[in-house]
Amino acid sequence: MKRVLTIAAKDLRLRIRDRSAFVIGLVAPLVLSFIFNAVFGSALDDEAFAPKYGVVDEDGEEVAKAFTDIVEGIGEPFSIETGLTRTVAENGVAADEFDSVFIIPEGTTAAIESGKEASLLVIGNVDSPFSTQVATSIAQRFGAGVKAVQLSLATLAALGPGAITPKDVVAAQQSAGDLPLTLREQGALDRQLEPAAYFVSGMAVFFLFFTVQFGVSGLLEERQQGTLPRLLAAPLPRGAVIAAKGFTSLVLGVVSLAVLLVAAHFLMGADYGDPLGVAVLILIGVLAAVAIQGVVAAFARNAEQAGNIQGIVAVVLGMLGGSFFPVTSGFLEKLSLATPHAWILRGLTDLSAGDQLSAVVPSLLALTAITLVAGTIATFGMQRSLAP
Amino acid sequence: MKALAISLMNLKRMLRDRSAIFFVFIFPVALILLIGAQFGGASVPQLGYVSAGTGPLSAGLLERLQGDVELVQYPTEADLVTAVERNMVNAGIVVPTDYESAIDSSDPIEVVFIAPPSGAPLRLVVAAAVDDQAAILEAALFAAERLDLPTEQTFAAASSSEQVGLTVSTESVGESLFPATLGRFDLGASSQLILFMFVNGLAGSAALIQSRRLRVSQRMLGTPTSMTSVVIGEAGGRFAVSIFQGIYIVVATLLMFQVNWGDPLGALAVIVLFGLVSAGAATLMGATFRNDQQAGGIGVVLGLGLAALGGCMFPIELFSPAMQRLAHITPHAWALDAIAELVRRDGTVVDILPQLGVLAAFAAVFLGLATWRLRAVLTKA
Repeated sequence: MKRVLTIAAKDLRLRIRDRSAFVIGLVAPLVLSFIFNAVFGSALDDEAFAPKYGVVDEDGEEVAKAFTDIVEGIGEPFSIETGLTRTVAENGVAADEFDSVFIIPEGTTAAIESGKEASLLVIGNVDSPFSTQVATSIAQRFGAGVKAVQLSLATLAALGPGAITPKDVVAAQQSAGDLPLTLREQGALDRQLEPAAYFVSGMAVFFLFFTVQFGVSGLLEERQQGTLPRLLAAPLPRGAVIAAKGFTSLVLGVVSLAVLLVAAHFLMGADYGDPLGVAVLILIGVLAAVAIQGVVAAFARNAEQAGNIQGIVAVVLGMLGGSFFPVTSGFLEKLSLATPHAWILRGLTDLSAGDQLSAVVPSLLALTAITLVAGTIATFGMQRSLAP
Repeated sequence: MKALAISLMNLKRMLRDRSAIFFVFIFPVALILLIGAQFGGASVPQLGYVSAGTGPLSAGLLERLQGDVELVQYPTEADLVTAVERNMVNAGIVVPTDYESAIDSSDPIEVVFIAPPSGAPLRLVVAAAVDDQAAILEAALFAAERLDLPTEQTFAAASSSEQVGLTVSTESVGESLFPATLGRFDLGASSQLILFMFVNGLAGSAALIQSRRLRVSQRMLGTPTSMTSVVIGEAGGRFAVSIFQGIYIVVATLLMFQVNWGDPLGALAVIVLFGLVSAGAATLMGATFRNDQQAGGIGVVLGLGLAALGGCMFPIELFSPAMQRLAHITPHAWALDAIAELVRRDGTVVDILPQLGVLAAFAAVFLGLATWRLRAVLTKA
């Protein structure tokens, strides 16, 4: 054990002197996540849904007033302006002053009262499709109320013996008040990291796969520099040499992730939740990264080839695993769960949503499985490459 | 002539590097595919649902919603809640088992709508669909009560009625930032073109550092080759790499995804000028750094950082106004503006002259600094 630590300490000293581990493990992820947060953070916040609607009442009668009241009553986060003229409204939508406007055409009330077809018009800005869809839904709900009354009377007329009386109309209007289907709203947690927390952890995990290269590829470098035979001639088991290289990677990776997440917490106000859970997740996550890059190092011909393939592995897994943007679309989402990135980020997300350590067990199990499989292959491969 | 030979040698070096095959040929196209799959196309909100019912009512509800949202089915409510929480769908609904029996129930039947705060506005869309069905049920119940008829009969009559009540029609106005004709991969392709021309161009700085460290560049000066030829050749090598990448992405995405690149002359002008900008930046880095590993790390940070700031990762049109101004300190933003003009507004090379001018200025400054630095380091003992 002591000999493992001695070799690892030597490797770590080398890495500190050569500043590339520092650049890749700390500076790169921190600078990039800082830029991403500055550039996208504001844009992502602005996405908060607060549509501006206008109402144009060309009808001026009862139905129009009822509809205007309903629109005015929908409250936050909508802002409503009533009493517009059609020209002002249309220009306002085109000029982005409104997301959508409702137009109640002249004669709407008269048409409805006489059982004829009537139509509301929603004019939406072409770049606010969702606001316009919601506006259309508001109008459609009002329309459904009207439909309930008209349909009640029509069904009555179709099946009943006589003509519709004013009493029937009043009864239909009253009964349309309580509909037999309701929608009950049930809140859900928002399991998404805040932008700053997401960018830092995404970049930290992305660069982790480059940082851990420095240890596991050490055997190849020793071979290239001619120091490997000397190391093997020393009175220590081959397993100890391999363990030392893996340990170097582990230390570099854990330090990088820990420093970055702590920095994100203090510099950018990121909240990752239960520190114990985060610590365990980091440790197992780094082990998975070491194991995967270890497999590449074990089977590469030389350090350069290992570096190239490890770079490709890091980039592909990082993209797919959601280091740059969340991968949520159907098939790709399932594919992304094959990457340790996705599990580390999911674990951090769950912890930040307030879950305890026990809730990230699936993430930990997945990462452990990846570590065991890749770690076994890597150890086997390295043992073989060291065999006399 | 010698400069050209040095340039071509640099391009050949890049093409012989096995990992370059991945980063230059495969990765950009794969990323454009991934981004197109994740973000491309019309963004219709996604609604997850769990439906136990198999009758006409639940089918009718889902059919009605189909027009407004993209429906994704989940087997259980727990799965649905997890999907909503993980933002795989914007919101979810649970259509209860007794939904079909709403007509015979004395209490209202509840459809459960599940959403985090960000998905809450979708409630209105779902409510409109539910209310629409409720109107038919309501009419059936009303007629059944007044006429003392069985609900099956009144429901059939109400369902077949032509009454539509108050319909809603929708129009769109305004000029879209992203016109509907924009293909699924168009936006991603243009931003990745600029990102990769610059990043893979910068990666070429490592090759220059190696040449200097192995003193290949210095030895070239020992042959009857002028300093100007060596400097132009080295800068030309980075230019060849960057422009090779650019033309490859344009042709590959054109063939594979039918990406629209607009006026060919305009597109070529952007690629050439942005290639010069990348070449200048790469040569400057290659002349400045001594350690190619460090330069590689800093190149990635610089390449990705400028790309993010310049709008290659998130459309610049959606930045805040202050960030939009800041973005234009990068050549990337100008190049993307030019491509947007060509592709989205059918501009020609004349329409993008201002952007081309700015890119030319960037190229001149970078190349000027780069040649000055390179001359200095190559003549230093």
